[in-house]
Amino acid sequence: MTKSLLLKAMLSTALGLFVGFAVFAQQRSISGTVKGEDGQPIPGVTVMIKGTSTGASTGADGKYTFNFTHPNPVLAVSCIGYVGQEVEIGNQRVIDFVLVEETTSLEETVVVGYAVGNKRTITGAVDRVTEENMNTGYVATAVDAIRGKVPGLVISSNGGNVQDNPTIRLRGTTSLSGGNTPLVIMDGIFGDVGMLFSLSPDDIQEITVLKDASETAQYGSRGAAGVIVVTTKKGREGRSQIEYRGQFGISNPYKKLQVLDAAGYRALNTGKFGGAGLDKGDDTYWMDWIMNDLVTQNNHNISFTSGNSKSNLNASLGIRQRDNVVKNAGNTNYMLRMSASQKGLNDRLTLEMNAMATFMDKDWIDTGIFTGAAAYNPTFPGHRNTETGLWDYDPNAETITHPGDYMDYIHKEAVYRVVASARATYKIIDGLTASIFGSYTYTNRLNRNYFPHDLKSYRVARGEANNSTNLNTNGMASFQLAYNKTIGKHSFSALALTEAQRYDYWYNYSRATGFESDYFTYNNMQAGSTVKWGDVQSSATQYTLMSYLGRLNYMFDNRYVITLNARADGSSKLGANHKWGFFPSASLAWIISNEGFMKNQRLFNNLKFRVGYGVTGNQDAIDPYRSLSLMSPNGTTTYNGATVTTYALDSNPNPDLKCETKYTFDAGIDFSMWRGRFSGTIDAYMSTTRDLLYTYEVPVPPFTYTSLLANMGEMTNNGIEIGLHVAPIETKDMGLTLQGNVAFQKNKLVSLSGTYQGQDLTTSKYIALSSASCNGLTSNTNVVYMTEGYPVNIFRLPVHDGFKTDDTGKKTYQVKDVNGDGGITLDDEGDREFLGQATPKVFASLGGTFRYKNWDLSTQLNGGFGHHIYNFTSLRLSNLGAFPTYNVLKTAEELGVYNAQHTSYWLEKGDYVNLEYITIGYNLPASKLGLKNIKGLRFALSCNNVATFTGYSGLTPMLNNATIGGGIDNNVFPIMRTYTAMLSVKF
Amino acid sequence: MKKLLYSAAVLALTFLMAGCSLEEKPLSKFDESEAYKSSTLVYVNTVASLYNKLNSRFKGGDDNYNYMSEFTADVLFLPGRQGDWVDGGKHQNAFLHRWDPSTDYIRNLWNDSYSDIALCNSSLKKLEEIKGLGSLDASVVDSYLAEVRGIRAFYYMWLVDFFGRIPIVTSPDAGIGDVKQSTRSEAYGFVRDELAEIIPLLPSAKSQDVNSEYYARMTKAVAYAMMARLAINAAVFSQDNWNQGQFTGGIAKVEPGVTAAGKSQNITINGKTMNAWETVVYCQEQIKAEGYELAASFKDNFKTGNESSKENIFVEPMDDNVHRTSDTQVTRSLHYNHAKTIGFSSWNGTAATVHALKVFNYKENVDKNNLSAATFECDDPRFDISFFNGPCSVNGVIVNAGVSEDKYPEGIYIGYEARNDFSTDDYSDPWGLYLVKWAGVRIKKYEYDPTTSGQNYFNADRVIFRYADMLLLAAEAQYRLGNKDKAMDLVNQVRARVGVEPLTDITIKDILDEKLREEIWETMGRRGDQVRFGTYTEADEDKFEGVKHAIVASDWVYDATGYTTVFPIPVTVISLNSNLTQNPGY
Repeated sequence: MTKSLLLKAMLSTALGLFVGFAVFAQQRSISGTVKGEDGQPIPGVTVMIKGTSTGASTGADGKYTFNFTHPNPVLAVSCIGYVGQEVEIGNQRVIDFVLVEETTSLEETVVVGYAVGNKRTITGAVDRVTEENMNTGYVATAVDAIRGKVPGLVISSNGGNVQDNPTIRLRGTTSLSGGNTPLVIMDGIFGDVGMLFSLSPDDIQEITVLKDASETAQYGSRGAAGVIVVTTKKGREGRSQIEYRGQFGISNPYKKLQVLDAAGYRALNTGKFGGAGLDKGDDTYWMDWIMNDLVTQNNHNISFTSGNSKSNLNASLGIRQRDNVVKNAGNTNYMLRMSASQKGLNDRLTLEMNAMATFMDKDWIDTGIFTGAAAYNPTFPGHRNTETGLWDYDPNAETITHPGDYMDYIHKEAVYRVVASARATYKIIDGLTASIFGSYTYTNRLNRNYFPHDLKSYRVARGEANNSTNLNTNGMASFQLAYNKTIGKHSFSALALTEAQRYDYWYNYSRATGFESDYFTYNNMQAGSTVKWGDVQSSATQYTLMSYLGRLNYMFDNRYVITLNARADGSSKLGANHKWGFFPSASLAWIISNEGFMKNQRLFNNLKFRVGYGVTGNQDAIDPYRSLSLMSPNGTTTYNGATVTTYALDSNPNPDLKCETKYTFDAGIDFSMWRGRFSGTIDAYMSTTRDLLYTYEVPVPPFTYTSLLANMGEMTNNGIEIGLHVAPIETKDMGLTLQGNVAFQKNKLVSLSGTYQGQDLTTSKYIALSSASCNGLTSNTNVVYMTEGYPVNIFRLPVHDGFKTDDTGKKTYQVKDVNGDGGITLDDEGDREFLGQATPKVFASLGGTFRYKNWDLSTQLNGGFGHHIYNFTSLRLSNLGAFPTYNVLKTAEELGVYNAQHTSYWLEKGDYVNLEYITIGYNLPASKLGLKNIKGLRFALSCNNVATFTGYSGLTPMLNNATIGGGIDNNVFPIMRTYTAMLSVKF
Repeated sequence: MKKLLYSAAVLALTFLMAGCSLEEKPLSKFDESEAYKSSTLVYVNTVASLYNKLNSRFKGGDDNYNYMSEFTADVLFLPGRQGDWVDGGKHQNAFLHRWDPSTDYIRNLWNDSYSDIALCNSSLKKLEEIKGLGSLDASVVDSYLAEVRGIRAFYYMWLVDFFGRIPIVTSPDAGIGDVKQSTRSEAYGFVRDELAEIIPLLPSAKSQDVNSEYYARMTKAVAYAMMARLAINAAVFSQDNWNQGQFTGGIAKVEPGVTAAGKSQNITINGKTMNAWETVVYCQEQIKAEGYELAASFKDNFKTGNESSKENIFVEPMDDNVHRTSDTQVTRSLHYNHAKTIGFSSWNGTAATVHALKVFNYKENVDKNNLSAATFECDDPRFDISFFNGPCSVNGVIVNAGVSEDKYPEGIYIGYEARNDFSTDDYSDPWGLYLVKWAGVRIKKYEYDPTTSGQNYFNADRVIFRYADMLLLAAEAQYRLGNKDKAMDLVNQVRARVGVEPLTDITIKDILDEKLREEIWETMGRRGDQVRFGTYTEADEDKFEGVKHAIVASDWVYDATGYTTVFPIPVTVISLNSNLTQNPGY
């Protein structure tokens, strides 16, 4: 069925619907013709007086006519497949309409990297989240807006810390050394995740996620981790609007750690422990002491937009204020963004300019405060000693820091970001455009810290102030030619691009100690009396990239589509003989629903099969200069009476460094059934990362240092992703849509061996990725490992073998002699077993929206399954052997364990489902209320983190287990439950 | 129009590619082309930077020469205190000699040493190049070459001691295949020959003199001291099979074999060939001739401003400015409340062994029900200088114990209660917790300077070689050469300086004990002394079969062959280089 046939069918259906519609003739009459853009009359179009049932539909000649009696009538035209229109009738008697075809979801333009295509011609695995289907609960950042919306895109945080930027992973971990975060492209600008977090979610038009190499190959040596393409809101022709959106939220901790209070501590101390512990007679529940039970979260965004056929404008100002549940911690973000475009030279030239400035102000708190607060003696006062003015410290509790110290530390971070870009596009001939694009990003991160001189750890140094500046700039320029042409059944779209980028990083740090007064904090470094060599530092790095890209998209007869990408990337960071990398991809789509044999079926309105293969790279794991042999300062000495700085080689260079290369195969099916009521996408992918970058332990001698970054290993990531969308109810007054997705991910570290300059290099069999230690547990502390043949992030722990009880009834952990050698050794190779992976095997989301008249209700569930969590927090706080110096959990006495030891006892299943939010909204019919100038008014109430369903016993199963070495519950921030009232007004 | 467009395209491309080179230009580091551009830079970057590396091998921490020499021997330990300091059994295993090829401090010791050796080799190569260019006075370059070889020999001397069969690498361009293991005697021979060659090339300056250009650098005296240390151990280092029981079984059993072996080792210095014991005496005499002598006061060697000591031969420079390295040894020894009253924080760990207290003849009388009446005394003044012991007071005020305040208010270090591990057995009784916190006398020796910018920064240089040690080495050599009177005279010189009674008769054990009293906590190679005397593997008051240890540590097991007198080659090193094989017994 060709496009015009389809259209005719739809039109006749619409016509049929309106046959027999009553036509009333009273007082006034109105008539006219409805035509399409091509000048052809459109039959079957409904033309009505708005808000009434008075109207008519057009005949075969596109003409309509009817009578009406209403005062101040507005004429509304609507027709399936076309954009509706409204016109005030006034004194007019004849009104003609030219209807513009509505781009159906299949024809909507999609930004696919450098190219702009439409959904029909996409051949790769590309997901798109538009403003309409973003999350509706409390949304603080752009990533919150799409959390759970894209199968395979995992966004995880360390509990509920509002200061931490969440970790983002697309289709899992593909590198061991870095560059696992997807590349962020905002309106063509190479950004980073930080840019994504500083952007106001209200400014986002849509986010496109490029998942497989069919399209990520466009980004060559930086595409291996996937690409998130963000398109911000722009002005549009014919729209003039001011909009305010506000969110007013209050949050409280969803769950807190339950340790002994002063009474419980006293009972245990004087009972079992013979009063050995100190009792200061006070009653301080430190966990409550460090937290606020109610904190606020506020977002405000005001924007305006206007546009005509020549120029467009969009500007917005946003403020985002978020408090942490822990006192003295929170952040505020200010965002200003503007974009404008202008056409000239007979509309052949388009100039676009965008600018964004953001300022983020953060107060940090050390996460160690949770350990301090949980374990500190609750009989100590929660205020400074009134006589000495100092905190009262427990002299024995040396391995933890007093919660009061943490509260008195000042950690300020300010991030200033300016992003500017400009593009000039010139239409040379029909279909051929040339464009020049340039962008510049500036990020300046200032960290300022102060540690008062009367706090325990800073008594000797007598206070410390330190300030640092991290200045990142990135300049980019590109030149692009794009050509689109349709000849009969053949459609081409080709693109050629050349691009150059330079990154500069500059760092500066200064530190002073010896403060007699804490008045100045970090504002007066001269107030500190001591500055030593190394207290003042600076460093700078720079790297450049050059790229060439060619892309061809070809479609035959709306049935077969092929996309070819080829990018050559040159990077200064790589070894002299490996400066350039080549990244090609090819993908194919077969639109089965457009085949002749599908003509007569009504089940599928779209059915497409896709397959693609491509190569992408990762160079973000390589820091500049790693291929060179360089010297840096290592101290000072005296020479000829003067103090001079000495230098030494600082690392093993690897002149053979090159990009990590990822080869991805992806096959997928897109389908849409029952006129879009049920649609979905299924993808299966297999990817292999070769030349895996890993920091090898190399033998000393002959190497100078023990580590060498080299390309040798191999890793695979395979998975299946399913995204479904159902709309069982879709009427004028009522609608229900459900969206669900599930992603199965399987990661495997295939090899970490290879040859380096003719010499075999390999690694230890079991490589520890993370460890956890506490008082009484300070060696053999490794918990999460990787080894060849297994997924990265696998728990390797001593196996719990019951408890050993001594004569006095005290229990200690007993560990199984796994290797059966008669003894217990707990080093990496010793009596340990692989006991499950830390990263979930399955991620799933289910969201729904129910609409009834002006009310709507939406909700979303997110979950992770098939993984484990190591509950180190409970292990550490269940050790009665550390009592009475250190406080313990309420459950510790019953458990009765007197030591701390890593065992599988504390490894728990991590499966969870989190009810992310429930939002109820009401769209006020402003016109009915006589608010003429109000175009839209919406109120909503929302609750975020409503409930977590899990068998995991710790604070929350939602911790950062997507990163390498993640999966250990240690100093996790409590999750916040947030209640939000939202208001948005358009006028 | 087309022309315009074409020009625009070309312009854009030119703009893009201009100034965008793929060559890297380092901005805050430099490469060798910049590093030797002046005579100062040559010295600084080929020689001085090596000393800065060397300094960090002695400061506080686990993976250094001090820890390996002292904490695996019979003088100091880090007891497990109710879980504190158990560290997975690390320190207890070090004390009970239950390390293995994967033990981290052994691996780090190896890697750090060879890393520094690699930098020495790079320096030597660079210096040869500079010499070839003729841009610098050849005699200056030659003296730098000798100096760097001296630094490298210093590392190799320790490595022969610790690991026995080590690879000798002398070129920075060696590949993995070029790294081959030497026998212990070959490695020993390499160090011996290097030292003999460079002694005449080194200057006679005073290395401990802060005003000298040669402050804390290789001088003749330093090389003689190294040679003395090497020669005294020649009887051990020249043995390729050390695990035949010849270094186990105690002093009496081991002494004849070692004495004989030393006599059979010939060393040639300055054209003079001597056996090992004669070499030790010769070196001590040469050092004396270089102007070194016992300081008037024992304390002078360790006080702030010890650069004036004429006794210190080679030091790790410590000051709060130019040579600012952090030393946590004291921090990790003192009780928290004790440190707090001095004005810093500490970790309540390191204590002297009961064996060490006995050698000092320390007397302690403690009644737990009447703590304030306890008495503590030692006739040897070096004990009080070396340790905080008994009631711990600051400015006359006794420090609060911080344990069950009504019962035991005073903080008193109880020396003889020090144990390898404190268990929870007495826990229901606050006295148990008291002992956990307060048992063991604590490290003092180097003067603490409250004016420095941090508690781990000192103004007293750390002594690596000291003339008193040379006297005691010479005493031992004389004893082994059969000259008991000369030996006794040398020991008595050392004793007289601190005012303790002279010996009237001497056994070889007296020399070992005198070394303990004189040198405890300094990096004088206590481990090597014990191996040579045959006590390193033996049971004593603190380690014996059935000695208590944390669950995660291992039982002390008697090593009759002596394989533990040498550490294992780290497993990572062996697995990465198939040329290397493990030391016998591991």
